[in-house]
Amino acid sequence: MPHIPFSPSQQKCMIAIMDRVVPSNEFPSASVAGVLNYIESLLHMEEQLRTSVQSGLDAIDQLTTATFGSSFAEINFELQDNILKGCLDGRLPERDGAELFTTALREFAELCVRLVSEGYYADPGNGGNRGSVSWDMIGFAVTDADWSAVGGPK
Amino acid sequence: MTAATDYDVVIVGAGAAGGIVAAVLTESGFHVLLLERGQDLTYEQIPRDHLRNQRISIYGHNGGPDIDGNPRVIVPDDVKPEITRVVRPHEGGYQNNASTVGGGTRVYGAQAWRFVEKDFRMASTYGIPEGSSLDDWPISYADLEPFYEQAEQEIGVCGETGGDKHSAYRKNSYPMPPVPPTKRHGVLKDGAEKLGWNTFTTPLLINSVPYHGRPACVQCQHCVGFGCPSDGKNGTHNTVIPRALATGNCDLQTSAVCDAVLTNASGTVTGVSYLHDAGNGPQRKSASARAVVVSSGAIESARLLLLSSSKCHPDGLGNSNDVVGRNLQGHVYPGALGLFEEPNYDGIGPGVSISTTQFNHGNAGIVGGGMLSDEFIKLPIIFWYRCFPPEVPRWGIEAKNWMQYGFTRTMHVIGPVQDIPDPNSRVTLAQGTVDRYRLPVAKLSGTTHPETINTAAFMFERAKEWLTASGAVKIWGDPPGLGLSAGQHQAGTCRMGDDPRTSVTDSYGRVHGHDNLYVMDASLHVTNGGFNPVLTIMALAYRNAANLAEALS
Repeated sequence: MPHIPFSPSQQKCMIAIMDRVVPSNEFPSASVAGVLNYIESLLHMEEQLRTSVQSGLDAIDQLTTATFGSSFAEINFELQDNILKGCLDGRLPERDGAELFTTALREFAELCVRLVSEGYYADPGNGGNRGSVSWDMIGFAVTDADWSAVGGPK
Repeated sequence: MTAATDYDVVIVGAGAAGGIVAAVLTESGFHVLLLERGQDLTYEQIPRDHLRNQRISIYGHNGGPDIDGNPRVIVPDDVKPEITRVVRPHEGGYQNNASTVGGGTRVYGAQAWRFVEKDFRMASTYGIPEGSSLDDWPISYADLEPFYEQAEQEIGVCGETGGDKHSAYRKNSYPMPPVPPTKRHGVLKDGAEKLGWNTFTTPLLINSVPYHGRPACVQCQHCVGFGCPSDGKNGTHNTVIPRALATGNCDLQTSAVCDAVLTNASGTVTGVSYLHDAGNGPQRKSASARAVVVSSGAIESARLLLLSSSKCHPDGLGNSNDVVGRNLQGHVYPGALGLFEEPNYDGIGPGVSISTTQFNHGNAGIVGGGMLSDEFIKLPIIFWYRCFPPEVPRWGIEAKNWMQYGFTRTMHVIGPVQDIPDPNSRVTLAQGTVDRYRLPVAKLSGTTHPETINTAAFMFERAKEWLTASGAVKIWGDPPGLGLSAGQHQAGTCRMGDDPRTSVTDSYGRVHGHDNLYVMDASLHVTNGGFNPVLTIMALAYRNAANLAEALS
C-alpha cells in the first residue's frame, strides 16, 4: 500500500475540489469514480507534483477559513465553485501579498482541473475511472476482441 | 585486400528503414549485424496506458527510449537562441520517435502514402522561397515506383486502388482491399462531393484481411500510439526483421547504443563502436564491417555522424561542408474540429478512414500543400485535452456535459503539409549535456520556413471548408504557428543530392567522400511530401539496400 500523500484535512479538501471539477449527475462524481486513488498513486511517484498539491490544498483551506471561517470542504457547493473560479480567473478576496498568492492558487487550481480530469477520463489502470464509468458516459467502448480467434495478442 | 571483417554490413537502427535493409542484405547472402538501442518489446510491454503512450505522453511513454539518460537540448525560441532547455523523451520539444525493434512502425498509425511526382521536384515546380533550402530530389517518382510496390507487397498495405485521382502512376493494385468505411467516412464523403473534392479510403499498412500468415485488424480503438492486439498492423518488427533473422545471416543486438562509426588512419570507415547493456551494465564492443549503414532516424543519424569525428574527419563524418544535421523537417499539422448534431462516432478502429489529396499541389500562391484525412480514434483524455471548443469551461458540470455530448459528435479533419526546409532548422551536438553513456546529446534549433506556415493556414481553411460542407454546426481550432518541425516524421538531416556542397549522400544514400558509409532512413529526404512519410522511407530503403547488395557483390 503506497504511503498516502495527504493529511486527513488535505484529503477532505482534495475530495471536495475534485467533486466540483467533475460533479455528480446521472454519472458519478470524480471521487465516486476513484479519482482520489488516481491522484494519490500519481503523487506517490511524482515528487514535485506532490509538494505543489499539498501546499495548494493547505492554501485553499487557509483562504476559505480566513474568508468564511470554514475549511473548503465545509462550505457549500456554490461558495466552493466561486472560490475555484476565483482561483482560475485570478480574482480572489483581498489579502496581504495578494499577487504571489493569486498566481500560486491559479496554478494550483489549473493543476487540480488537469489531474482530476486525467483521473476521470484516463484508463482505469491508472487508478481512477472505476469500471470505465466515464467511457460509458461518453460512448467510448473498447473492443473486447476474442484474441484467441485471431491468434492471440502479439 | 584488407583483413577479414566481423560482418559484411553493420546497420545502426532497426526501424522502418534498417529492418528492410537487413532483410534485403541477408537474403542476398550477406552477414549483417543489426544494432538497436531499444528492446524487442512484446505487445504486453507496450501498455495501453492513456497517459503514457506515443500519442499523449504526460508522465512517460510506452515505446522507448527510457525517460532517464536520453535527454536532448532544445532552443524553444528562435529569436533568443542562447536560451536552451534540457528535455526528456516524453516532454514537449523532444521530437521523439519510438525506440524499439521496429522503431516507429511498432506503434504508428500506419498510413501508407506514396509521394507524387511533384514532391520530388519541389524547387523546379515552385522556385526556391527566400531563405529556404528547397531543392529537387536527385531521383524521380519513377525511380521509386517499383520499390513503393515492393514495400506495399512485402510489408503489407490495404487501400482503394484507383480511388485517389491525384495519385501518381502505379503499376499494380494494392495487395489488400481497403478497410471498411466508418460512419464518419460517409458523412465526410457527402461533404466532399458537395465541394467537388475527390475522396477515397486512406491507405494503411494494416491487414484488412489476413495477410502473409498474420490475422486481420480487429478494428480496436488503440491503434496509433500502441502495439497491435491482433498483430495485424504491419511494421518491420513483424515482417522483414523476422525474415532477416530466419536467414541465419543476421545478428540482432538490442540495447546496443552505437557511439561512433569507426575510421582508420586514412579516414576509411572500418566498422562501429557500441555500448551493449544486457542488464548488468554497459559493455563496450566493436564490430568491423565492409560497410556501415546508419538508420537511426533523422535526429540520431545526424548525431551519430557528428559524434564520429576523427583526425581525418574533424567535423564528423560526411560533414566537411557543414550540411549534416541541417534541413531538419517533419510535418506541420493544420486541423479543424467540427461539431455535428447527430453522433457520428462508431468506434471502428483505427478511425482514420477517408482522405483527400485535392490540395497536395496546384494551389494558387501556395508552395505545395497537403493531404487531409479524418483523425484516428481519440482517447477520451486526448479529447479532454485537445477538443474543447474555446468557450466551454474545462471543469464543472459544463465540462462533463461537453465530454458526454461532444465525444461522439465531434470530427477532426487534419493532415500534414509539405514542410519547406530551412537550413537553420538543425541538429547539432549539445555542449555540456550528455546521455547515460556521457555522449553529447542532440541539440535541436531553428524553425520551419514561414512558407510552411503559409501552406498550413491555407490547409486549415480547407479543413474547415470540408467540415462545413459535411454539416458541422460549429467549427473551431487554430492554424499552426512557426516552430521547429520534426517529431515522428523527422527527416532531411542527411539529404541526398549530386552536389556535395549542398547534400550529404549521393542518390543511393552513400555518404559523399566515402565508399562504404551509407545513410538509409528519412534523413535522406530532400523534402518530406505532404503525406506521412513512412512508405517513402521503406521504398527508399528497398532501393538503396538493393544497390548496396550489388556494390558488395
